[in-house]
Amino acid sequence: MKVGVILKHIWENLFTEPMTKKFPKEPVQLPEGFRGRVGYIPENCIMCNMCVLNCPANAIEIKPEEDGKRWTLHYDRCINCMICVEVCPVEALYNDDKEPFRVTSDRISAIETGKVPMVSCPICGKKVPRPSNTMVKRMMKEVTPRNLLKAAVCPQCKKDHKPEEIDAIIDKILEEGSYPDMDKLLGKEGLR
Amino acid sequence: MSLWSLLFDPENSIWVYRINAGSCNGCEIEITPLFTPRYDAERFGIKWVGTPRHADVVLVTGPVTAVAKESVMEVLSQVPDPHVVIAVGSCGVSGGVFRGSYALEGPLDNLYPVDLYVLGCPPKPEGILTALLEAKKILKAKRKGQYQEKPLVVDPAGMVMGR
Ligand code: SF4
Ligand code: SF4
Ligand code: SF4
Repeated sequence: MKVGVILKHIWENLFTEPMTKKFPKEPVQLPEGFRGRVGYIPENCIMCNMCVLNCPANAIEIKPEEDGKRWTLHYDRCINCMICVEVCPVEALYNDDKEPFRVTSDRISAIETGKVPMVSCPICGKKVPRPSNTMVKRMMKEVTPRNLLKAAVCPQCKKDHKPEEIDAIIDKILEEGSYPDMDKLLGKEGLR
Repeated sequence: MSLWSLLFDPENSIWVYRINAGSCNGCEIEITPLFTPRYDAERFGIKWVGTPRHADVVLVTGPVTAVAKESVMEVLSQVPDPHVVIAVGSCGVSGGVFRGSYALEGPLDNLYPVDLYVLGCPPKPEGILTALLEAKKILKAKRKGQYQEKPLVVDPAGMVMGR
């Protein structure tokens, strides 16, 4: 009986492929839900610091720069736990499960980085952080230049002006094209 | 590769020694499958040896703890030159989750020159295999007396390092 089973296995193994993964020739096959790289979308970030506070490896840093704040993830410390992806309230982080591994001879440059710039309030010109695309989508359903401008109005101006007045001012700005930070607001230059 | 180098280059058969410098054993569990039929590093001539005196490549896992430091340095001093040191896992690379702990003397590259880093916690066996294959090239350069001038970028699946 047992000999029969063994013979069957031997017979099968003569004709099947070896079980060794042909790795460098064929790409890595990743399972579903694989925790790979942490991807960052600066257009969505609101710089709330949640990822910095919750990262168990202290891999994320937020540093003020002239004209904005810079978010940096150091991959040499990251342990791919994806806690930052879970706690981010605005979907600015995602699990990029396409990247299976990283090998490098320069660990300092293994970073993911992005910047949220300061833009000026369309009414008073005071500097405010660029509004997040996700927040604009949640409040006004759509991300358009008009909605982004509305979201960039500073809190003081929101108090001082009525909604109709703000709408009128933004209509005027859009007609004249007189807003100085339009490229930054639309993220045209890329916020990297 | 010419037939001559295929037959006589010592880099076609690198011998690997592994040091646990205080790791949680997660990285060991990923290194061991390399020498099993599933990943089978021996088809590239990579062989696991039991003593540092025979080794060409040393894999170091774990942040170097205060207790492990002395032994790690002694073992590394016994590896014949030229050799390649690979730090495996976030712990070996930078301390990972243990970074800043009072019990650490590391990470390894504060104490000893490291040639390659495999990032991840734990890294996939494929990642360690890629590093070992890359170590062959570094070893070859070191034996000729030259060393890589520019930082090395390895991207087997289209990923870009150091953007
Ligand atoms: S990435 Fe997400 S959690 Fe981190 S600061 Fe930006 S919005 Fe907050
Ligand atoms: S995946 Fe985990 S370790 Fe990496 S940055 Fe996010 S929270 Fe930190
Ligand atoms: S890198 Fe992760 S798996 Fe490897 S030893 Fe450190 S904690 Fe363990």
